[in-house]
Formats: sequence, C-alpha cells, structure tokens
Amino acid sequence: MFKYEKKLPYPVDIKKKNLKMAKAILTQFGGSNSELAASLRYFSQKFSMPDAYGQSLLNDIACEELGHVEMIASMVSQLSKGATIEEIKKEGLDDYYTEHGLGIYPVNASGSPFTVTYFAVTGDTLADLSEDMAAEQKARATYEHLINLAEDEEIIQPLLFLRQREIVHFNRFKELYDRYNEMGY
Amino acid sequence: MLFEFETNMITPSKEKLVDLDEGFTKGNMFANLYDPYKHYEPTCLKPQNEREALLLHIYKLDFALNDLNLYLDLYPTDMEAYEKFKKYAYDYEKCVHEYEKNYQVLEVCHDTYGKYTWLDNPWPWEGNHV
Repeated sequence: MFKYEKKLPYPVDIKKKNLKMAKAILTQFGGSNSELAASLRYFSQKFSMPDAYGQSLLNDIACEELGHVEMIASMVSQLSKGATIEEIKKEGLDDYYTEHGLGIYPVNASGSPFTVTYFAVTGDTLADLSEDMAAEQKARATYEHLINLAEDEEIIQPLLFLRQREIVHFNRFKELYDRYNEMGY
Repeated sequence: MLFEFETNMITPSKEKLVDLDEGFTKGNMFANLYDPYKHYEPTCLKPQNEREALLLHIYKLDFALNDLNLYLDLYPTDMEAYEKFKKYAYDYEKCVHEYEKNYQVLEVCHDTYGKYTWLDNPWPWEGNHV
C-alpha cells in the first residue's frame, strides 16, 4: 500500500515562467520514456519476478519513479503558472490549451497522450529486465536532451538529479539481470 | 514460506558510499556509479532559514535511505551498508518528528498536535517548499 508524504524526492522551486520548457519537460510525464511509463512498467512486472531480489528491486524502484512523476508534473505546473493567452499562442501551446487549459495532462512533447503500449510485461524475467535497462537508458538520453534545451539553473538542477537516478537504476537492473542470467532463467 | 531467502546470496561488492550532502546533490550515494553530464555541475542547495535547513536535511536522509534500499535489495548481507541504512533511518525518524512538531506535518496520520492542519500547509508541487 502507499502513504503520501508532503515532499518531493528533490525540491522543485521554479520562479521563471517558460512555456517552451514546460512543453518539453511534459514529455517525461506522458511520453514513451516518461517517469509514468517507468513506474507502471516496474509496478506491473514485479508480480512475475522469480524471487525476493527482483520483487523488491522492481517494487522499490516503481515507488521512487512515482515520486519522480510528481517532480516532473510540479516542474511543468510551475513553468506554466499564470501564462496568458498571448503567451500560450506565441509559445505554441494553443493545441494543448484547447483541451487541457493550464492543467497537467500526460502527453509527450508533440502532444500524443500517454498509452500503456509504451511498456511491456512478458512474464519472462530476462526479457522484462532487458526492457527495463533499455528504458533507463532512453530516459537518460531524454533528460540529456532536456538539459541541452534548458538555460536556467532552477530547471537544470532537478533534471541533473533525475538523469543521475536513471544511471543508478540501469546499473541495479543490470546487476539483477546478470544474477538471473547466471541462475539460468 | 512467505519470505524465504535463497542461500546463494550475491557476494556484496565493496561499494564506496559518499556522504549525505554529496549523495543528494549528485543524486547518487555510490561513488563508483556516479556519471556526470558534460560540463554540468550539480550545485548544493542553500536553505534560507532553520525550517528549510531541517526540511532539506530530511530530503537528504530520505534520499540516502532510498538509494541504500535499492542497493540492499540486491546485497542484503552487506552489513556495512546496512549499518548506514540503520543510522539514517534513525536520524530520519528523529528529524521528521522535530520538523512536524515545530512546523508542519509531512504525513496526514501524524496530524495529532491539537488540530487538523493537513489543509493549511502548502503542497510540495507549489514550490517554496525548501
């Protein structure tokens, strides 16, 4: 079960409005390499892990990722807070605004809504863990693209933190993969 | 048995743990896993008052606990890592209690200091939290 704690994994405090970055960062809420996809992927895959190592690691990373979902949504919310209609039109958010206003809805950077087809559950330990490793690398690449686009430290710092978590998770998944591979799964 | 552990545990590797400040700033408690990005430098957050300092310390402890949690999931017999985990868990509980007593509750079930305050305090997504 879950309990809400009134804090984020890493603080998000963005004062400067930036609709272009809001639109780009939203992809880590609703895109194929998003935190939402990561969280649901590990949460769903944990049920078919063969022993306590895999069950624990997937469960615990899934929970951490849900905290990252909240961080990303917080960034988007703060970056777009108080945007005027003129700003929305000028920065190319009019398509998004039509259906969602200034609400936070999981879509990718080009506006496609989130779908569970972004991840798989095969019930096969090595196949699932291979996907998890790839997912962490793809999320790392996405964060690097976002960091390249960003100019403000208040955006860059949380993105650097999230990027580093992908690296840690990749390594843990790889250690687990190697263990199961040696055991003959 | 419900919680049966296998006997072929993974041999714990000797991991070098960094301290709380460095780990949180870099997003990684493990020196050998740290991978910086280009010229970007993670910067240490500067709290503006006592409340922020205590909350930031809670963030750091929570982060270290989480990173050690993932490591211990794979290397549960690494006693050195476990001792660190135990110490951070103890400090975390202590700091959360102090913060909630003096400023605001972080979990709704801790809202037992005389009146229901869950609605009065800001949500973390609103910014200004640390």
